[in-house]
Amino acid sequence: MISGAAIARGLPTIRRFSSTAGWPFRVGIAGILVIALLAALAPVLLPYDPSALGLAGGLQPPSRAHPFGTDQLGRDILTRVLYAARIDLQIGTIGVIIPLVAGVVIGLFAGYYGRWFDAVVGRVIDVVTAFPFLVLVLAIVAMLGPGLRNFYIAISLVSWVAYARIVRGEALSVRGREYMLAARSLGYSNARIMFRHLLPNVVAQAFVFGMSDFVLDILAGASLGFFGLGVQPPTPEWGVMIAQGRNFIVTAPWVVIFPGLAIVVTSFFVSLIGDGLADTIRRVNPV
Amino acid sequence: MIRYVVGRLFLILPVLFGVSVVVFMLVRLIPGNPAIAILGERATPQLVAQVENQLGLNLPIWRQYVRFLGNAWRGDFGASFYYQESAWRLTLERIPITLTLIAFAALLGLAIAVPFAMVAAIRRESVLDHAIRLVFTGAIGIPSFWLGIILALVLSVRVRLFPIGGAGSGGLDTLWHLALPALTIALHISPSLVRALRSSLIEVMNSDYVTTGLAMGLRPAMLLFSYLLRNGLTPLITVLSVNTGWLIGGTIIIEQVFGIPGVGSLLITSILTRDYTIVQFVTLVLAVLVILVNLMTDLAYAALDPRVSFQG
Repeated sequence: MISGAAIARGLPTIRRFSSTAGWPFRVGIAGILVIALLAALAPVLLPYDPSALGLAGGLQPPSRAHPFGTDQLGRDILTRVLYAARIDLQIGTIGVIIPLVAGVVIGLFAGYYGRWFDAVVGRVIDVVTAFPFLVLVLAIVAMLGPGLRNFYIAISLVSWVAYARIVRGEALSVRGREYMLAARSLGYSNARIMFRHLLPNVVAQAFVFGMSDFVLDILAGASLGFFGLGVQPPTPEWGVMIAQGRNFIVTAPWVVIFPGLAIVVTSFFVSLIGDGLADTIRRVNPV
Repeated sequence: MIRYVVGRLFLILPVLFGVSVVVFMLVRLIPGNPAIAILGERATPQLVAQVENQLGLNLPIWRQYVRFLGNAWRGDFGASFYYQESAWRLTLERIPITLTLIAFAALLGLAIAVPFAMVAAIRRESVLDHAIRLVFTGAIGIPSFWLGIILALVLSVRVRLFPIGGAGSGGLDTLWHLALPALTIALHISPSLVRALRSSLIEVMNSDYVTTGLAMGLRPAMLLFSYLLRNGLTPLITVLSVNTGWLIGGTIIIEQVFGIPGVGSLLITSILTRDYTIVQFVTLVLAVLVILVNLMTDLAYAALDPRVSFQG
């Protein structure tokens, strides 16, 4: 038990952290920042409008004017891929933050107070994890109707369980540690013990999972978009772009290839961040 | 052993109860009047009243649930408004092809994952290990539907190695048609299989009998292989069962992409046609499938390793 107090002083900032974390973490952060920057600056960097129909005609192969080619409506694919990054990064971010906050708080309460609340939370976790993630998300969106907002609702209803399970388990395992007993014997309030002493020690694993969850959400969002249940066209989103280009894949494979590569590359960087986080936690706090 | 099995079976009951509540509540998520949503353009006041009556929408919610359970007990899960057929029949006739695809994909997934995981575990922290982990980290984010489309383009359209879609005419022809979809799903799940297997193998490498074996001059690969085989494939069962949800999710998407008439494509079609009863029932069936897989995993552990049933 090296680090209870060390971590309790607060989560390391990204800069301090990245000096201790290995290259995967730094590469991952850099990659995501570049993608976010390109997405934000797309209107400045590129001369095209993402929904402007090309007069030159559709399905042009990659060229100097259109590095990723054009789609069936003559729209510049690079432009659309970058604009879509805004939506897909948002899907990952919102898809992680809401369930992470909800799951961590619920898991913390369950692990700290135990008793009936923990029993109820435990059963709910068992039930929700019985459903395959994508199936339950699809089913909820099916009922609420297609669209991004309903996708977020579905993700929030389903994903918090994973975070709650992680934090609850961690909280249960540190509940009897000396620093927890010390905090209690000093007469601190439950809220103070939970959020100042317990939370910093149990939240790390939730962040690690958050990174793979980010990838999971992007994949789920793109899959829903692909089936016409997520973001609605003409808004550019990677899954929607793949669905729309699918009929032209034999003659113009670039229409499908580039949006897919965008998903792969983005997910790769996010996964690197997650691996880096996990490695660092293992090194700082070996079990 | 028998006590363990009975105890484990009883543990399913609360989960099944919870799953039934979730599935029941699903239809209540429909904004507005579910009866109108279900009927869509066909909605006339008489039909709406009829559907309301059929679903028991006028009753208090707990009585609706009791009714739902009662109907379920009799095998009545409602009927499809789109196919005009009972949800039970519509789904059950599609289950064999889906299960075949899942099993096929799981086997292929292991065939891909085991060699890589073994190499990574034996040459731990070597360049090879890092390369394998990096490649599979990259592969985690490959969308299955995209991979399926690309593989179909390359291997079915360009090279004409595999049929383009459908389920074939039964027997070997069906397996032939399922090969490419199964390969897609296998590649989709292989990153998490490699990851889980690698860490479980590394755990084994640190165990006493491996140390003894190494001291006796046995090769690490032989030791790991004998571990995988001799211990009744427990690590493979674990890795697969943990990834059941991931596997089913991939299967649903891939069925739709390759036009395989299974439960997954039924689910997607039903969502698109707002066939709520079918969506509800397929969701239930897939959750029950996960529960059964977990149950069988636990029972397999108990059968293979007597310590499990003693610990209870």
